[in-house]
Amino acid sequence: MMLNHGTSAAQREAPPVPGAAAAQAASLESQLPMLRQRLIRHARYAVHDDSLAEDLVQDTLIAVVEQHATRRGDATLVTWAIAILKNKVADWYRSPARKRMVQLKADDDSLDDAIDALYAADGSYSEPVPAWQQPDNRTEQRQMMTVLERCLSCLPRQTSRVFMMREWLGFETAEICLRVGVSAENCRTILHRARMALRDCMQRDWIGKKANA
Amino acid sequence: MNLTYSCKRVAELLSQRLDEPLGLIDELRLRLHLSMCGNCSNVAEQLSAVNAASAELFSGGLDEQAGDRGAADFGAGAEGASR
Repeated sequence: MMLNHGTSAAQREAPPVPGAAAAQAASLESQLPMLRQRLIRHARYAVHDDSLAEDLVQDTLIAVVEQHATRRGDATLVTWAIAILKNKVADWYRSPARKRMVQLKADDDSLDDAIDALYAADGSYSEPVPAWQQPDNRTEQRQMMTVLERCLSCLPRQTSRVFMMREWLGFETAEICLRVGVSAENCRTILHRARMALRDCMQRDWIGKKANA
Repeated sequence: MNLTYSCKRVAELLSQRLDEPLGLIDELRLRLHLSMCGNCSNVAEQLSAVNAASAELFSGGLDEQAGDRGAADFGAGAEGASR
């Protein structure tokens, strides 16, 4: 992997392109700062280490600049760049360099307590669980995504990292155990806690607020 | 209690089922419970909805339809908005 290579160097090395392609390249350059911000947020959720996130994004932006002129398909620039970042993050988790990184400490038990609070002593729900009405237009969908992102940012670090490995990188649980150094049972518990915490947060901040609006 | 699982256990199995196939017995007991329990059926739908929405958020997929306004989403929350 090419970590720590400056973006500006990569931009200088990009081959000169004539005519319309030059305009395209200029337009890409103007979008890079915005793109960089988005990718960094994304990467931070996945690795929870600021300097590592910046390295991975730097790498991604180099690939974006190098491959932009020849890219095919209908994906937007952001979606395409996020897919590249995803490969960089997955590669990093699978690389020997990762082993040098200090493992995240296990999260505290606060999520466990919140989940336990949902249930009565016999393991049934202590309050009725209302059904959710799915978003039925773009605006509602957008609101839901905004709330979800906020909920995600409230997850403890280890929990959020494991959840992203599963749901973004698409790692099987066996691979997550291997890469993060937790047991299969532990991994299952972490994923369960993450999903229940997100469900709970969405219930409160999305469904609950929609009902009161 | 012997015939079916508690709601708490069902929630764990619902999550596990999103990652790996359950054993036959677990799967049957889970389905039996879901067929009788509205709370758990709702939780089952909600866990799937959270997973699907997360996958969409992570892939940036919402952008595909949202065009320029997409930048308001995953890219411009806390840090982005404060700039």
